[in-house]
Amino acid sequence: MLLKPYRPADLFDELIDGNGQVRPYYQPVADRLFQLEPADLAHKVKNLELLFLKHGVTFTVYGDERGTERVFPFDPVPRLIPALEWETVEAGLIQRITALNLFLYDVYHEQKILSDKVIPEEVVLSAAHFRPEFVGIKVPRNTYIHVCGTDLIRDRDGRYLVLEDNARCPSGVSYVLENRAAMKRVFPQLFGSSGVRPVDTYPADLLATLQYIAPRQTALPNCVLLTPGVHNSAYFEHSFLARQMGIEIVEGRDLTVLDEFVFMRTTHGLKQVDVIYRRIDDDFLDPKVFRKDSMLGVPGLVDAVRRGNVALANAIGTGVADDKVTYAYVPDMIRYYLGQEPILDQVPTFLAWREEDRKYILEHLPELVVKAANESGGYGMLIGPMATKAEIEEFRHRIEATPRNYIAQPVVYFSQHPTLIDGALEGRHVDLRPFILCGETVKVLPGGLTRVALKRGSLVVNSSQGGGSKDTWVLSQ
Amino acid sequence: MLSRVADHLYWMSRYIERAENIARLMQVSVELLLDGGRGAARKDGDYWSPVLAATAMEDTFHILYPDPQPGDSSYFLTLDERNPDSIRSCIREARKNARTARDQISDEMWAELNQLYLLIDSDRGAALLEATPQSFFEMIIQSSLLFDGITSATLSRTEGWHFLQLGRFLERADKTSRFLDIKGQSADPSDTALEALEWGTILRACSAQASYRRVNGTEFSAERVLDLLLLSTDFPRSVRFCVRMADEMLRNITGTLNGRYSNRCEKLAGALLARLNFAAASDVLERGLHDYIDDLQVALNETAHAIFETYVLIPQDTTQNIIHLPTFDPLGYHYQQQQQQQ
Amino acid sequence: MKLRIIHLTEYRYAHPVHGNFNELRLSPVQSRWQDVPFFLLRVLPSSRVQRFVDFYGNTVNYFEIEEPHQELVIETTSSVNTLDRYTAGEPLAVPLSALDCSEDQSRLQPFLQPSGPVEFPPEIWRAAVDVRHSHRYSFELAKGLMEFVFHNCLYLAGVTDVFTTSSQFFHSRQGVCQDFSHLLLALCRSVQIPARYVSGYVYDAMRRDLRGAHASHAWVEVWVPGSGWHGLDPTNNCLTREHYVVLAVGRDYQDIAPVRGTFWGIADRAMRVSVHIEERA
Repeated sequence: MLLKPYRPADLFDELIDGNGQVRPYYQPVADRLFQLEPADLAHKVKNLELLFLKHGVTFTVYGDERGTERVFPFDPVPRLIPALEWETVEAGLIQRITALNLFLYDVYHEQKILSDKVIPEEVVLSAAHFRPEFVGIKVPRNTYIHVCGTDLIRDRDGRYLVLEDNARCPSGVSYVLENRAAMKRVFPQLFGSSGVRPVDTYPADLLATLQYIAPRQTALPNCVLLTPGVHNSAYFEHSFLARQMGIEIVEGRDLTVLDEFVFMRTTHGLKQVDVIYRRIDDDFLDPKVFRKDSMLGVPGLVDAVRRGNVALANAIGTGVADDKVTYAYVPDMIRYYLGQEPILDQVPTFLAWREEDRKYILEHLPELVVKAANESGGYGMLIGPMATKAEIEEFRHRIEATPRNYIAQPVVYFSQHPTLIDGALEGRHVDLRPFILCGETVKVLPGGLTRVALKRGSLVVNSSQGGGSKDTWVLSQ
Repeated sequence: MLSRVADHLYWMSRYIERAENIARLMQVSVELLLDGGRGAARKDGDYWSPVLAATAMEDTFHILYPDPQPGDSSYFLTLDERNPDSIRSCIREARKNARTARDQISDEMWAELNQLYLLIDSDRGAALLEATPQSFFEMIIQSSLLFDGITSATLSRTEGWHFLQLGRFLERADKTSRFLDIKGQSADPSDTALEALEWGTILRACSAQASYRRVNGTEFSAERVLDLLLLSTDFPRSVRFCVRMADEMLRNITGTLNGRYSNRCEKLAGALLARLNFAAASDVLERGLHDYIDDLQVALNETAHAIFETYVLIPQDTTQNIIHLPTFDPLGYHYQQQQQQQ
Repeated sequence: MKLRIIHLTEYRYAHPVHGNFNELRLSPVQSRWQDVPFFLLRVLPSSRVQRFVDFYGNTVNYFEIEEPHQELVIETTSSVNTLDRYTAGEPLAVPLSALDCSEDQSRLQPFLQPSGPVEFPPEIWRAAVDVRHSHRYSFELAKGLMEFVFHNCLYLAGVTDVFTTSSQFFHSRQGVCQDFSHLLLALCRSVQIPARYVSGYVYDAMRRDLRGAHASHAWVEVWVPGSGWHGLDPTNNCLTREHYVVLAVGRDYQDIAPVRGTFWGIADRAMRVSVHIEERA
């Protein structure tokens, strides 16, 4: 009923294969979902969004003084990933995160990969998020990235490509859990016998990951979640995770540092803190060390971290690993530290600071995607084929002025997925952000957050810029 | 519990109670406005001035509205975002506090408060106020009462509950006493019709009319109203009842026995309760209602301030003591033992 | 059987050491009976890890840590899908004489000779010949020799070391899986059954207290003409079916030690090894 008018585009389509047939693993869900009346479906989604609003499943829009909260638009057509396909993705992610952690250990110790000239020294030393003051500091369990969100896209042939790693404070996992809960409530009949792998173990796994790095190995280490506060765009997620894990959500002003130990202020006095799952960027952590004007941080926190009296997840300085220039070298890292070939491919990348690359970039701006090296959330980005002349010229100047800050990639048209738009199914571009936890072992949450660009033809899936999300089903066979 | 979170819970319930009380007073005042012919003819501005006084927002109003027009004061009290104590601001603040302490309250509490906020913050709220002000006020009152009920049915009786109740009862004591003060400031006790109308208004604002009539019939006397709204041990909106609850909650937090105190806020709350326990309406009238309520307000404010100092600020001072501990581990264990005893 | 294996080796040095060079044979072998969809090696302090394939076809990872350090972590994570080698039955009816006319004979020479700790002086040869007396077929004889080892030797940790030879073990009759395997190799080879040393893991699915289930394990494979290599576990007296995972094969332990290295510094160190094996969904 719904499916008839749907036409796959000349891209990789998640639902329809090259011969115009529904992919076999999709058939059971398609059969059930497309039986529904479009109006009925749209009505159910509307109710769901009201429910999200009522329960405060929202993000805060930046640049809006009143702090408007919005629901992250939800699309009811689930994205399916067959078991074998997921096995490869999972293996690739585990390999990648392991290499990134080894890289961070190396960069903050001997810097062998630099002296072996596998990665040019200046790439790392000039990265905005490299923290030279942390060279030689031991971090618990020698792990730097404990929580990682790696963005994947699929090219024309359906190959998964890594688009970027989010190794600082990746967000979005709460939507994965809420979307699943919503789907179960509204479309229980869809699940049928599909064998969808559950996602609800994430909070317990995250807590175990945090407890694993506690410097004081007591029976129940005191873990807290440090939030910038209620005005942060991801505040819902912070409070959601804290509630799910049963730990305190704290702001900078709740913590105090004494003799290089961290305490939280409670109604019964001070209580020592062992592990901080911080959702604040490095820059704002400690006004004594980083930004002096930070009101969000805790004075003296960095000293406590250096002394090993408190553990941070993620560690300070992980930003050097998700810098977009560093990204270009991740395959080399995997070969260097693991003695293996990368399992997941990534998008070819031109680095503006390399003379020959820069020349190419400047000559081909209208065809390329240009990204700022240290920005995330789709900010500071130029999509050549969709940009105006003025925008292109502006980026030309910016690149010439600070070449280290820019990279360029060919436009990869992400795969598209049927999405409910005005009561009919239309193809929209999707990406995938799986969440990876590095504790005693590396665990990948089955699936992750599928973000969908709701505007026709748009490649920007960020929540702040007109994106929506889907439930992601990893099939158990 | 985190000091800041305790503070958020306290303020969340204070703000909800505040919104409810403003709505209560406005609801009965609108009725009076309709009954205007029975009292002296009043200008709109005059009419709302007791309500402004009861919310202690007169000064702000006159700064924002140097030349008040009809409708200004009602807007100022309900939807004006520039008034930090308008109903809308109160609900917004309550929700902000709830959102920050989201992990400590139940989903149902959050959903109820959030729904109210979303309504008031939208055009629907303004439209409702415009069309049927009575329904608007009723909705606020209902919502607050519902929130109270949900809280009582879904929240564990641990520290969070104590702080939440503390906020609600201190605010209610404050507002009931301010309502009484409307009468305390009224100049002319000789007009018996007006007198009855005014006492009636206050009783109804406190949902106390039925309770009053059951005991006293339809005759209004200052003494009897005070017996009910100021000194009753049973009526849940009387000042004495509220102070008794606040005293109990405070002692629950520290596990202190009745009649004793372990910190300054308990001492102040206990002393205030003792004063009310041994007061009679005639003494109050002898002292002068307005002056008596002034003293009461000072005592309530001192208590609230002491709570803030004890539970939100003090931990900073205790840091001085902790520095000298040789090891930090016992501190953590010690706290956990305490938690289990609660 | 779908298995997931985490093998962790940790060294702690009492004093900083440097020039720590290590060769690892820890990555499961890809074969007809064993598919390896995932393998990951993590070395801390992080270092460049390189790789080659040795004479016996095993993948070898190696690295060197030049800077002073007091801690070395080697962790591998593998996913392995195994098949039962014996679903088609045992290669029973192959006579001992079959090897003589086999064209594989020259290729198998290394597995017929004494090598390193695999010595077969007359008393071992005598013991093997005594067992051969009752057998005509080669696989049957190999199993007979395995039973001989199992019934005449006692599993006891701590009495032997990595250098103990088959002769020493034959006299003491006490040791670990490595010694059991070396003796079985010696017995097989002395009666002209090609036999090689296998290192790997055994998954104790039934929790029957299999020896070696919590560490890396060793056993023996014998060559049956026309049928190939077949595993025998003398420590547990059984055939190696799908719950066995092969890491490397060679003439003896010395060829394929899972972790072998040298370092500069004071030898005072502690080693901790743990192997965790579970079935995957």
